[in-house]
Amino acid sequence: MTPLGLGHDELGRVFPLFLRVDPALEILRAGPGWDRLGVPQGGLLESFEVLRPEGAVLSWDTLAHLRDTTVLLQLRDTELRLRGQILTREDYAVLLLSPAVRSLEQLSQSGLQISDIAPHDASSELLVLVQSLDASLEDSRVLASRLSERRRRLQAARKEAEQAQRVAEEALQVAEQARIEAERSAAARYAFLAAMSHEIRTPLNGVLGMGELLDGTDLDSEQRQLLGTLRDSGTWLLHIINDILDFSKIDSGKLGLELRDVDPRALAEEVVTLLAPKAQAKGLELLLDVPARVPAQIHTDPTRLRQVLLNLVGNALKFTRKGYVEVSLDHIDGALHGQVRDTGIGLHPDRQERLFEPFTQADLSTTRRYGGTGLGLSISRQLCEAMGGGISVRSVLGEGATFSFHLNAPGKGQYRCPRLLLDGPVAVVERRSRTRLAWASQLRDMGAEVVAVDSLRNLPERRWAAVLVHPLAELTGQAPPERCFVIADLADAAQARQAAEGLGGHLSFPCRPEQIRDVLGGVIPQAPEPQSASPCAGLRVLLVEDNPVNQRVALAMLKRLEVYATLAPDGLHAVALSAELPFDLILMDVQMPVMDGFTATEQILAERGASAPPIIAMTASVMPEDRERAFAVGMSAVLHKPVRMEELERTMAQVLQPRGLALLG
Amino acid sequence: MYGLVNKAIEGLVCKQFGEDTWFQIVDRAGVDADSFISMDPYPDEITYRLVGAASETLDIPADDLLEAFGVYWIQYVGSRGYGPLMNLENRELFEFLEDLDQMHSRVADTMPELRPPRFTAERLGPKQLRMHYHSDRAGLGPMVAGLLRGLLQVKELEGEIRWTAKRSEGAPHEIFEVTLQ
Repeated sequence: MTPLGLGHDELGRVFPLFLRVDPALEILRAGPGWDRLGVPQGGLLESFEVLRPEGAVLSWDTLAHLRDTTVLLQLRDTELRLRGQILTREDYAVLLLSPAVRSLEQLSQSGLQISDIAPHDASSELLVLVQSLDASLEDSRVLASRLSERRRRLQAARKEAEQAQRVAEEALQVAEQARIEAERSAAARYAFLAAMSHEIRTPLNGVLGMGELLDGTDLDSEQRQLLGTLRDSGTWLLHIINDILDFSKIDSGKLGLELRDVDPRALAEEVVTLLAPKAQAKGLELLLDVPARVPAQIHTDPTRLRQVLLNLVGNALKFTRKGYVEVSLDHIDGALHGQVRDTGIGLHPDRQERLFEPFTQADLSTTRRYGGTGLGLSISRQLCEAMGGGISVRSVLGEGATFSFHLNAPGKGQYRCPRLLLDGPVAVVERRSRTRLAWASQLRDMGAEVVAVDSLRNLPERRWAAVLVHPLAELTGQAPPERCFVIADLADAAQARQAAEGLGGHLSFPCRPEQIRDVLGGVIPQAPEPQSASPCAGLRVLLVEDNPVNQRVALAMLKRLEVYATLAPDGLHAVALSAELPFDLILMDVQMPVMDGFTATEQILAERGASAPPIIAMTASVMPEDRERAFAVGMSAVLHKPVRMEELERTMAQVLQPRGLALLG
Repeated sequence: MYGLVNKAIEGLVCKQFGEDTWFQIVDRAGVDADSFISMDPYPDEITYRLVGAASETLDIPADDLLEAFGVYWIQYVGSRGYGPLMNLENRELFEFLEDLDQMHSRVADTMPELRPPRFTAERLGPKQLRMHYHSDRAGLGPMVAGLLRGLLQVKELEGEIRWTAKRSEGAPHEIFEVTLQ
């Protein structure tokens, strides 16, 4: 029995690290905790050192003195310290010890377990608490470190962002400077080109004007052929100048759109009509398809749309040797979609991408072989983009190409196709399959029952409301069917008219539904021959022009139009003459010595007021400012040199129409 | 639950899937904090939301995730300094399992808001033990399965863990049987 009256096992459960020693300080018994450490060999003195009380020495005598105090012992040759109390009896002493550790880790390193701490010793809870606090401290360290890391990253990111912003600002400045310089350069280039164009147009006006006049004189066939080449070359030169100027205008940001409501069918037919002779000359079918869902009107810039269409259709005709060129329009979600498909030479895939870049045709040999500035598609692209759209191409080399474009053009009003009221079906006799289908489709859209065949021989015997026959050759040598109408290509219109004598009438292709209705819909009146060649005949016109060549051209044209013309060599003379003589109209050059056309116009209008005749500007300038200024000073229209007779006649008629002047003889 | 649990979830996700994934999970869970203090108590809802968000983000069923978490928990708390408290090295597995409540009791003295589960061990034989697991928290049975699996791994033992009674199937509490080879 121990001094507590407990057995050693019981004592071991309460004090797992107890030691019982005899007066010689030999260890007699040890608690179960020592099993893990190994019971110290030898005596207490050899195994332990007293740390507290300080200076105490282990001996049988001192043990009794130490019983009133807590001792702290160091197990020699280890880090383990043990704390406890000593109980003494006459022949033995018991040391009730517990590990003195600061952490669970230290306990573990000592080779002990938490169960080796006396159960009533609060150290075990304290160790867990310390461990928990350590864990929290570790959390704080991690958080602090993470916070520092994030702050550092934030700082770095902010610096990077500032640096990126500086770089971006610098780049922006450089870009802005480059833009300003590019604009300045483009504007200077445009101004130069415009000036050059003015200088070129003035003599070109003479060349083309004289050529046109010469064409109206008696020439033998060789002379006419030479003249034709001369006029074609002049026209082509004008076309090139216009292309370069257009490109330069877009490049310098001077492209302005003039939006208004336009009939898309009329515009497309105008383009097709204009290019139909070219198609016919090459034996190509030129087709137009505008479905009924395309509105009656669209809001767009008609000049620019016409330019795009002319360019695409012109190109298609240029690069197609046989087959057809088909133009189709559609209207989807407020945008006009156009397509020009041909059966021409097509494009290599590699070249399709840069086709719309300026000065780029498929290759240089194309330029040599087919001509052109290489600017047309680039201009078309920029025009489409300026109108909120775009342009693209699909093509297989050798199998033709399809150019598609779209542009913003809000629609207005539903198109109503004129209806035919006929007493039977209509027959179409046309050798070319696509043109035949186009006629049939158009007539069906108008409500007619249609039978289309490729020759008169295949025409079924029945009663037809109308038989439309093409080509003219079909009618030679055989009796025309009843109610026969001749359909002809545009260039053959005169021939067709002749061939249609005694028949129902004639139609040209392409043909508007209204025309078809007018011709097929009732009695066919023979078109009366025009009574006078010019609606301007008899007008009194003051021509103000300083350049002798242009004077001769204009005077000759006016003579052809049966106009009484008076010449003034500058603005000052014009002001004086207009005050003296009652002119119906004034044609005013703009750039003149002594007094320019703008000043002269202002003075004439100031003096004559409402009684002043309409004044038409004639200028070789293409600067929009000049055009705007012409209208600003009160001119009624602007003609650009070189002036064509037809254009001169039409413009004069237009400006005089509101005044009610007799224009039709 | 104490932050230690949420930190263990963070540790598992970061170790397996990286820190970015952890932040995604925190965002998805709608939890304000992305770091936790081990010794601070947090509402249980946060832990459940983290597990749910992790399950959705990682496309892993929540039960599988909890079981993986149970495996990870054993090594995690060991690495956080509680190894000596568990004293796994010096004890037999069954001895450890029998002492679980005692260990939780020691921990509870320093974590006043701890609501530890209760475990009762029942020896069925020298190599078989039945564990009764009682908790006022629902749905953590898979985690206990993972804990037992994690203990087998740490002790480098081969054995089988069977979940023989489930609260979700009407049993009054969860029962597991551990059979060692």
